[in-house]
Amino acid sequence: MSRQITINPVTRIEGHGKITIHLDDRGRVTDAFFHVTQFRGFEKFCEGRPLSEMPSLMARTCGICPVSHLMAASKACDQLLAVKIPATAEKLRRLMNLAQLTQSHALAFFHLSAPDFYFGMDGDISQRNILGIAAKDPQLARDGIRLRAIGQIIIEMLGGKRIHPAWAVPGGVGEPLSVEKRDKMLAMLPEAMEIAERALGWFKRKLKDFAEEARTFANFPTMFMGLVTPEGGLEHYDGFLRIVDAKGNIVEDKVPTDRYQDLIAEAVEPYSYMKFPYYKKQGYPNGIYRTGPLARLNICDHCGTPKADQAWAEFRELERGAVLSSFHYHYARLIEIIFAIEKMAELLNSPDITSKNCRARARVNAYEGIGVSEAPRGTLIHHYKCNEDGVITWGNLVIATGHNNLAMNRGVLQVAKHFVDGEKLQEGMLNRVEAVIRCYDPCLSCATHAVGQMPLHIQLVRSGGEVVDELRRD
Amino acid sequence: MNCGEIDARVLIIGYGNPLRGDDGLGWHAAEALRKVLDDPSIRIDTCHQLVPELAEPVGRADLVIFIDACCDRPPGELGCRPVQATGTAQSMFHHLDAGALLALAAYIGGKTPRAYVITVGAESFDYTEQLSATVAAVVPRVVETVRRLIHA
Repeated sequence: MSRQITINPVTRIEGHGKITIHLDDRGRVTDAFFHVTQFRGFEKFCEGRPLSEMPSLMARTCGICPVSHLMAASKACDQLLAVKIPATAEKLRRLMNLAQLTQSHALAFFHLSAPDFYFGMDGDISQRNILGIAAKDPQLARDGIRLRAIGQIIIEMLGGKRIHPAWAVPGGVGEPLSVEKRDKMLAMLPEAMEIAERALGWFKRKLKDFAEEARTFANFPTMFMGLVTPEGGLEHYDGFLRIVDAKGNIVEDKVPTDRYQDLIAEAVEPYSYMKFPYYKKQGYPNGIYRTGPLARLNICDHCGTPKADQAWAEFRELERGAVLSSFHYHYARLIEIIFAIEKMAELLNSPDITSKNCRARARVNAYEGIGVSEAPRGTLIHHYKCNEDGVITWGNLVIATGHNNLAMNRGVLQVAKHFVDGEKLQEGMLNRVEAVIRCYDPCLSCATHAVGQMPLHIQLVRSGGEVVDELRRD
Repeated sequence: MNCGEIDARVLIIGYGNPLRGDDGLGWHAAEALRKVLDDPSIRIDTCHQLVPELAEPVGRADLVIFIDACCDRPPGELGCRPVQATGTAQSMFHHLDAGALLALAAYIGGKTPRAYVITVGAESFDYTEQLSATVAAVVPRVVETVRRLIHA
């Protein structure tokens, strides 16, 4: 008789989700699903709002990556105004985008995932959190707190607030950068780089302890999608869409971002509020692809900054062709932090970074606008239509995490099949099922995680509803 | 709150959601305190939740006072209790409690300051930036409690 295991909530991720694992009567995993249990509705309630509100409104989608929404929304509104923003404005937007990448990746690595690496997947649950790390390795905890803080301080210096800064606006940015603030930012970057390199070294030494996880965590062939520069380099703000296959061959290249609908479509499933984007030419669900740090490092021909390029070259030696294991999202995240720090230094040293010319002004000149940027978790698409008064009439958001939905579901099944023994439920098995989701650092908004005592209730339920086994941790 | 640059002898943190009625008590109290406390060694700040980034400034202070609304007191009832660092926190990562934050501050090399939590029982969490009349009436007493703690 079939049985079902439910993990609810999934811990140490941003947002609310649950996992169900289906077993046959011999306790073998037959299927597994990642359910996203939140409904946000942003696409609907932005209708009727003036385009000037869109960046700030859309930033409220999330408290961890609001800057990503600011960028994509502002870019879409730039198209509605039909303006080319000043060069300084683009640099400043890039600067904030990279600062956000730094703080978000730092959160994902140090706070959400490092507890597993430090204590092991089977480590004592009461310690497997940032407080546990702080007690055993204060330097590691301090590094995580400090690196995230540096990213947030830069965001706050630019936009006035750490979270939901109302600064990126249609046509540019609302406030130029002063010389004083520029110098303060530059002064923080060496410390950030020291932390990032230390973390990368630590993680590379840990890799051998997680060979089995690297082999089995969503390690399957998929395509990868993201933005690249016109020269094929690592890109987070603008550029063109590129898709590569599992062997690393380019499948689509130099696709203008406003033609994203030529490449991808979205399906829905009854068990999740998150949509399932797929590559149209291969249909659903064969058109599975991944985005985010792993994808960006797989699709690019180089990073474009010296330390990141060196780290990237070593990373690409993990496999011939594309690096396929989703476990290596963690590795890719650290390389992206190094790139972000180098790139921020480059931008801050630009002669025009403190120019006061940072906004183009215009009325509505187009009725459709598409803004695409790379959020920490993947490609983010904001697509709006407006009327002649600049009032939004329609909006479509393709969220970064959504691109990975098919891959997350397949990854959960792969890990469950490998690690879960339905006859003997153990905490470590279920932590690994959660941990594969954490590789993607999904942003389902509103993280929940219990530090110290994580409430968890797992039930084995017969198809008729009878509870045959349960694990409880209060 | 610019966590990285705070270095104060006395740190006052009012926290909660200022868009949810009485959950904004900490923010309203902070505003009232800024009008009466004029000492460069005292830093008054607000945030939505207590986050790990606060561990460094907490670890540099001699006295930390947390101000928040609560549900476990009758509406308008004020409470003030010392808070200790709790090494094994029973709290949610997205909003560390005061004890966990103190523990984190100590672990990463800071000192363990004297710390207190001032709470006021909430009457309403409606979608508004205004406090209920019941809780608004208590803000002056919150201010006085803070002053007493600073001069103790």
